[in-house]
Amino acid sequence: MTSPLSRRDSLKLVAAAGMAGVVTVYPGRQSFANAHRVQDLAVEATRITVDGTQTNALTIGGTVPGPLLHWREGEEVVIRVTNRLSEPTSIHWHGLLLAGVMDGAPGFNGYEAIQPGQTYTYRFQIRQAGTYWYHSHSAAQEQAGMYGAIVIEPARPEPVRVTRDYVVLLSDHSPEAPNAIFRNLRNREGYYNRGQRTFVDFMRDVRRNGWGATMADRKAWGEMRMDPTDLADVTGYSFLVNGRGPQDNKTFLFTPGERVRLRFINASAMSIYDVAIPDLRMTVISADGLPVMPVPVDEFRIGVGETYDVVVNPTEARAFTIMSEPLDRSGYARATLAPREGMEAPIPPRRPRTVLTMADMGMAHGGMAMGGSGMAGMDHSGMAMGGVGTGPAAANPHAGHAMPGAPAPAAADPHAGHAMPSTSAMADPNNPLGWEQAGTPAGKRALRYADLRSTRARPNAPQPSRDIILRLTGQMGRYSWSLNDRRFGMEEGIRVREGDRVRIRFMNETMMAHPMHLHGMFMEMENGAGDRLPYKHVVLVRPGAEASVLLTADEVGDWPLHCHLLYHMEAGMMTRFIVEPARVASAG
Amino acid sequence: MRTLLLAAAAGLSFAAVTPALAHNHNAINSVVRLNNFDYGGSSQGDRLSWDLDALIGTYDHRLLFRTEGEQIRGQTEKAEIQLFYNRPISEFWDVNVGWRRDFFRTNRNYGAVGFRGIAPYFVEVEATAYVSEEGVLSGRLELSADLLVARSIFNDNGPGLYLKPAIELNASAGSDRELEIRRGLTDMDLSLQLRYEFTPQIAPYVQVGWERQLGETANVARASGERISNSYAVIGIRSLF
Repeated sequence: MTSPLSRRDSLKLVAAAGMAGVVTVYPGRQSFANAHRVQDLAVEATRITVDGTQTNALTIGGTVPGPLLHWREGEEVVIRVTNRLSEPTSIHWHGLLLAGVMDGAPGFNGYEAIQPGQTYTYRFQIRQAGTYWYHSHSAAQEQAGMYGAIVIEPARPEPVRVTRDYVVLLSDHSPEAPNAIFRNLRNREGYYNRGQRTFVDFMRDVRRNGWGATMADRKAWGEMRMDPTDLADVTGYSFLVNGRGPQDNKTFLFTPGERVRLRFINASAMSIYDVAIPDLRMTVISADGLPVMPVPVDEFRIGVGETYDVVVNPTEARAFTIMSEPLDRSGYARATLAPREGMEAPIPPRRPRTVLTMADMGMAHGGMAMGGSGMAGMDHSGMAMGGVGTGPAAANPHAGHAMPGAPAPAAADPHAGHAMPSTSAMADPNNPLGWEQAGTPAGKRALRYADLRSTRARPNAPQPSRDIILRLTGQMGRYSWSLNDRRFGMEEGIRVREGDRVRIRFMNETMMAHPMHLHGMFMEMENGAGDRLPYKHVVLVRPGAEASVLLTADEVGDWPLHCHLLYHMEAGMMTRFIVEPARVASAG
Repeated sequence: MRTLLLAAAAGLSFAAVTPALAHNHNAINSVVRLNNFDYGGSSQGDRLSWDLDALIGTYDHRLLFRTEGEQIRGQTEKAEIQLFYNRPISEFWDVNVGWRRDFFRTNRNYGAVGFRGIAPYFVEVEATAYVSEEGVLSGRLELSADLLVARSIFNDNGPGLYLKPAIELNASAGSDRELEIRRGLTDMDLSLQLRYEFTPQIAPYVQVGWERQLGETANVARASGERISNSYAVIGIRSLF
């Protein structure tokens, strides 16, 4: 090694520079001698064209999405990021295990934002394989286009053999500036919601359900001052696949008989999608980058920040539509799998948008115990697929929307995985009720969190030494989002000791789903998979429900833990997950 | 008003001191809402009225400016400004503490304290108690509800048609001769607005209403030959900046 600095030393230097607020480090070419890959990325403002319409965008490497970063497990990468904006920026490597200062979240782990005109050199060793992504972690930038995919080849060949391998990166792009959107959200509740129930809907419900039931329903929502149509805070989006709109129709080619791997990444600001490829079965082989036991499904719901790899095996020489509809059904992202460019398959019928129920408010009477009883869609909707939901966070029907934070002992019990009815079988597909309702066609199968089983069995995983309760809280009217009722900056963070095994219980007290993302470590989602809990970096916690994860705090640092809906994060739904070094703790 | 707002912003900036973090979770936000600006006919002659408020501040500390007024046949019947420190006290309620000044009949200053928010069933409530510089205690209660009747018949995601019933009640615990106010309920305003909201920025409406003086205040006005009630029909615009 001719390098004057060891890798460890230069890492330290970079870390020190980051802490000191000096963001440019040029250790010189020599020190990159042992890096396998050196990449330069510039962050700049530009215009992009989606379906023939130009809008403003912020880009990494000049395009939306940014360039695909193709790495190999075990290699060391160096990425030099130059800021050509007039404001500070950052790049975060979503899902990667690395030293905190390389994680790229300003204000955490001693990392500071990259100032205009400056270059920051990221350098880290790749410790994992799979599908990940990268994005800005500075407010109001990621949603303007600063995101891209990362594919890491495993060091050893995978058991999955495919002939084609594509990234399908879903995102949402608005012609409005992110700051304007955030301002609108704060200035008027439901600013973008055009799905609110009207008097006309009221009369229709009276005809359908009778006067008494309709009045009781309106009374319940009215008493809570909540809107059951609040599925997505922001509309006006174009929904993109790899930066292309539905008309652009991004096409992925195959030859009939080939096995094709599709790496789905949800890089949206606010959109949770239901993804299906009509007439083509998918086999889910990994979640959030890491392999799971194969699950054949017809569709899946993907939260913001999540990734799923699926394998498809189209045998006919025809086109297939990859259809991704956001929960509020305000549009769709579309791409095509086809043997030739220019081929198209029909767009499947657009699915109706669901209406939330009291179960989504954590107010299903009796919670899990009532799984098999009456009240059709309502109780079931509280517990079927999608979120990890171990049933409503509060079974007390009188609790109102402000649910007690009292640790309900049974809540962490991962019953969720067992014998869940398929919601689609019992609900009216044209009049869906409940957040879980994806409008899955009869006879089709949607992925449930309970289906995810890690390929790695851990029969002797230690029990957690303590439970950390994280209530997901918010005030829709003010567009204030928080954790344990504290917005970021006013909270104290969560402290654990290096090596601690803990359970985090996300108790969603709001009526929106929150994709909760932890930097720096994988969470083992308690979905009933026994000793094969899947590893996740994002857990989608459905409205009014609780989800729990286990983790071993083996990465020292000061890690962001936040809702990945970007305007929720911006409004304060974030905290610090602080892993203190073991030796410091023992000295104290 | 602009200077007032600027001064307010400067005064509030202490509340916005936050660590240099990536997320402006406590950044200052501002909005100007033109709640009513309308013109039309009334039983006492042509009528112009306005109601505008402006908010600036963080999630926790805000300054609220509000102005309301009415002219009938070019004669100012009501004109006031209010300036409040506004702070959330619960999920649905804010408290207001501040000052009001009237610019009609006589210029009058008041200290004010009140609350506003959303009651169950989405009823918007604003209730304020005032003490005038003459030492007279008075109160005002405003209730309204915004009912979404229908979306555009052309487009499920189109403009909304809203019906907004509203009531305002004023009462006084004492008499103020200059203001021609007597102890008891003093006046009320009942109205019904039908609004077509293209966007929150562009929302034209038609509104009918009935305003009337009440109690001893009305008796005194009647005795001096004034008309104590007025019904009106106006067209106007609501907006948001």
